[in-house]
Order: sequence, then C-alpha cells, then structure tokens
Amino acid sequence: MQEEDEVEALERAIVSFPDEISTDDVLKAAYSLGDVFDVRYERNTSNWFLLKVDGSAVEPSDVADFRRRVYDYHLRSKIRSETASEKLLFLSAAFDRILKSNENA
Amino acid sequence: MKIHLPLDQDKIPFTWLPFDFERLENGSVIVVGVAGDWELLSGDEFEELTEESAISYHLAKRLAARHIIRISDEDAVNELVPLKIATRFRDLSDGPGLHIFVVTLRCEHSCGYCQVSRKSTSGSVFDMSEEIALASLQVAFQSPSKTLKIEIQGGEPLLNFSLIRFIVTEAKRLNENAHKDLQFVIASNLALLDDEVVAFSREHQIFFSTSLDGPPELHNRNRHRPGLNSWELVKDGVKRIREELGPNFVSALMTTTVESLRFDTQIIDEYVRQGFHEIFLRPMSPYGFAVRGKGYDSYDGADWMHFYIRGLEHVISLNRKGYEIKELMASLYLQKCLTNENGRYVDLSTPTGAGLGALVYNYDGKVYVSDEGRMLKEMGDDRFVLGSVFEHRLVDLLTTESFLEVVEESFAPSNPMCADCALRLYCGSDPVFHYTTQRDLVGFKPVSSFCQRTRSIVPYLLRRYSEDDFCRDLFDRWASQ
Repeated sequence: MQEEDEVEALERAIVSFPDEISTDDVLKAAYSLGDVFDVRYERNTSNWFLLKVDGSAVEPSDVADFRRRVYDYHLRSKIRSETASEKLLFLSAAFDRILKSNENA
Repeated sequence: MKIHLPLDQDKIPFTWLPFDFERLENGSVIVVGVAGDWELLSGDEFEELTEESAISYHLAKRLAARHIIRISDEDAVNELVPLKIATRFRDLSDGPGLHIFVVTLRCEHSCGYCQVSRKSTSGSVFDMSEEIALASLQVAFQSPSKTLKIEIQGGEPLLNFSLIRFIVTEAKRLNENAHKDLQFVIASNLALLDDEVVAFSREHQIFFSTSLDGPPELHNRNRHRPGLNSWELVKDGVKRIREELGPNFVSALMTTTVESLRFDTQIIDEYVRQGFHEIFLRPMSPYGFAVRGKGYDSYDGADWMHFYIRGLEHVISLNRKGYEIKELMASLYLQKCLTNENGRYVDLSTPTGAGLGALVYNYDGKVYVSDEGRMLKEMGDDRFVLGSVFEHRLVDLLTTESFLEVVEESFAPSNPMCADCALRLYCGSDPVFHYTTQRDLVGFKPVSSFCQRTRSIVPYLLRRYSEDDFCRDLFDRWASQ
C-alpha cells in the first residue's frame, strides 16, 4: 500500500504504513513517544492519527520521527524472528550452566 | 576470541545473532548482543548490517568479535555466548548480601533534603532495641549469601552507639558457626565521632560512609546543624579515621540539590582537596523531606544531566592531569557495559535488587525491601514492608505475594519499552522509584527520569570510550576495579 502522510490544519497528521508493518510495531512506537504524541487508529483503514499531547502543531519532523520509530520497531521484530532459535539456545545453555554451578556449590 | 575471515573476499557473508539497537542523536547506532557485548556503528555501517547479506571485511571482524553476527560455520560462539550470559546472571540465587540496620531515627542535623524523615535527638522511642537487633541478625544470617555486609544507618547512628556495639559483637558471635565474609559499615555524619567510637571501630575493622556535599558554603547550607559546622566536623572526622583506622576506611557520598547545580566542578575539587579518590554524582531521591520540602521538584532531569556531564568531564580531566579519581555512577554502568559482571548495586538491577540483594531492618523490627521502601513508609505508604523480624523467617519475607509481584514487575525483558531497549542489560528496574514517582511498579518509561538517566549516560560513556584513547583506558580501569 502506498504510504501517505497528510497534515491536516496543523492539528494532526494522518500516517499510513504498508501491510508489512504490524499494529504492534506502531503501538510500540506510540508507547515510546507517549509523552509527546497521542496516537489514534481509524477503524477499517490503515490510517493512524498523530496529535501532540500539548496541543501544539504536528510538524513534518514529528511525523518523520514517528515513522522512523515504527520502522525501527519493525526491524527489531524481524531481527528477533530470525534469531529466535539462537537466542533460545544461548539462554537455555546459560541457565543450565548456572543451575549446574549452583548444584555443585 | 580469534575470528577467521577469508582474506580474499571483499564482502563476507554472515547471519545475524540476536541483538538490539539504539539510534543516537548524532546518527550513530549502538548495537548490543544478547550477552551484552556492544559496538558503535555509523549510520551507513548499520544499514550494511541490517540490509545486506554480505558486509565489508573490517565491519565483519568487529561485529563477529562482539557476537552480533555469525561468520560461515563458526561454532565457538555457541559456547562463549552462554558462558558470558551465565557470568552475568550467576549471582541471582545468592540471596541478600547487604543488610541495613536503622538503629535510630534521631539526628542532630536538620538537612532539608533528608530522606530518612529524622526525629529530634530526644526521642529514644525511635531507637532500635537489643531484642530487635538480635532478631534482625538472626534473619540476616539465614541468607545463603557468602558475604554479609551489615550497614548501620540512622538518623545519626552514633546517637545509639551502645546498640552498634551490640550488633557488631553479636554478629561476630553468630558468624562463628556461619563462617561468612562479614563486613561492617557505619553511615554517619561524623559529628559525634569520639575516642570510644574510633577505638571500637579500629578493633572490629569497621568502615565509615559519610556525607560530603561539596565546599563548606554548599555543604553547610544543605546540611544544617546548630553551629553551622557540619563541614568542619566531616573534615576532622575523615582525617581522624584515615589516621587511626587507615586511609581506605572512610568514603563519602554527596546529594545534589538545586544549589549544587552551580557547584559542579567545585564539589569534585572539594573531594580532591579532602583526599578522596571516588565520587558518586547522584541525583536527589524522591523520598522523605526532599519531597515535603519540594526539593525533589526543584530541578528537572535535564538540569541534573548537564550537571552530571560537566562533573564527569571534570573528573576525566583530573585523571588526565594525574589525580586518580573515579566517578561511581559511571563505573557502575561501565562494569555492566565492558565486563560480563552485573554488579550488585541495588538500584541498578533487574530483577530488582530490592529484597533480592538487600534488606532493611527498621528500628521497630519491621523489614523492608530497601532503604527507599522504608523511607516511603515514613511518608505514609507501607507498600514495601515485607514483615517483622519477630514473625517471619527470611524465606517468609521473600515469598510474600506483594513482594513476588514486585519481583515479577521488575523483570525488564517483560516490560514495555525495556523489552526492546538495547541498553537493557546495562540498566535496572527500580520498582520502588517508579511506584514512588508514578504509583506504578513498572513505570511509564517515556517520563521516567530513571530511564532517561540510563539512556543519556550510557551512550555518552560508550561514545567517549570509542573516541578517546585516554577515556578507553580510564573506563577499562573503572570497570574492572
């Protein structure tokens, strides 16, 4: 889906993302900026509304910052997904080592 | 670990190992592996890592050494990474090693930022009794920790010196069967240090921790006492302890107030003048009189960060000029970043160090997860009371529903924002702080000054480490000491 950003009347921005971006990615980005932005979802669309919690105007740089965060969370999900088996291997081996060390102590 | 890379290839194929990343304001990116090894990349290098299937030789070498990527069929990482993780978390089952005894709430100072909610010197009803002290020691010795550090606090603990004698002698008696590494510290303003205290401390190898807020005009303004001579008494007390017990038997801590913000380098210079080789540039805590007097709200996180960075750079410059002095906030973070050690600092642990690493035995026999939890009770909130030394064993205290909730909520990999943060292994949780400031054990991290501190200090330290050879050597020493 084509990405479009519209800034309406400087009060809020409408931001949309391609299908590959999950709701989780957007919600995590929204949470991390929750002291600055109020992020709302338009039902049955892929539109997200970006408002500033202090009521000030949403600048293009704000939208760019939010968008970058969303894509970063998407990248984190991808990294996590592709390395899940290694992480499980490392953690289980580590805690097995700790357990054996405690038993021998 | 040696990385064997084919020298005849321009680009090296690789696969990711588990890692997280954080972008910095200058465009660079910190990448951190699952064991805590990190690398600072340029924006272009990060794009190469995340968008290409083969990367340049030099970048591959750096990233493989940090276990961010795997090269070809290299298997050693399958042993090395778990070993590093195990090292970092091996102390989790040790049990509390720090046991704080609040022997009195009486104090002859009247510091405006007092977190203890001190009482006047005449109220002996606020003194711990021998019965409570003995019951507290019996709980402390139930800890499986091989080291027991007994820290005696107040108010001003020397106002109840007879009980300190009792605690030390009884602890040593109990240790005849327990065989733990037993250490004693008295946290005192040193105003009441006399021949009896010095002689007893020398006999039993007791350390002292005192408060030194800076030069006399700042210290005496912060730490009011009749005669306005708190600084002079600290100076004389420190000198006496060094001469009669030994040069390493006294340390000092400062508290940052609004007034302190104007004295960043002068505070450090005062520590140098008084012969200290460590300083802990701490923010003000949101407890006790510091809140009632609105001191806590009188400056914001950004003010403190500017103060901290100026202070840290001054410490670094002093080291360049040949005076060895360590900044302890930085050293705590650096130990986590540059070694596989987690440190045992209660306020910078996940799961929380409160309760798991330290316990506080109040003058009335109640037990708390931390000093801050006890201070909260003095402010009217008993959320972090674990129980009583007369009613509960150690195992009972650490398995209450309310405490288990605190531990569960303090597990950073499960917390929003923390779960995705690259700096998670270098940080902590501090549920007591978040409960105090936000009425929530987890806390909403975008407005958490605890979170902002880590996210400001760690990238700053890692940048200085990467850019400056002197800082690299200095920080390596701080991390390993």
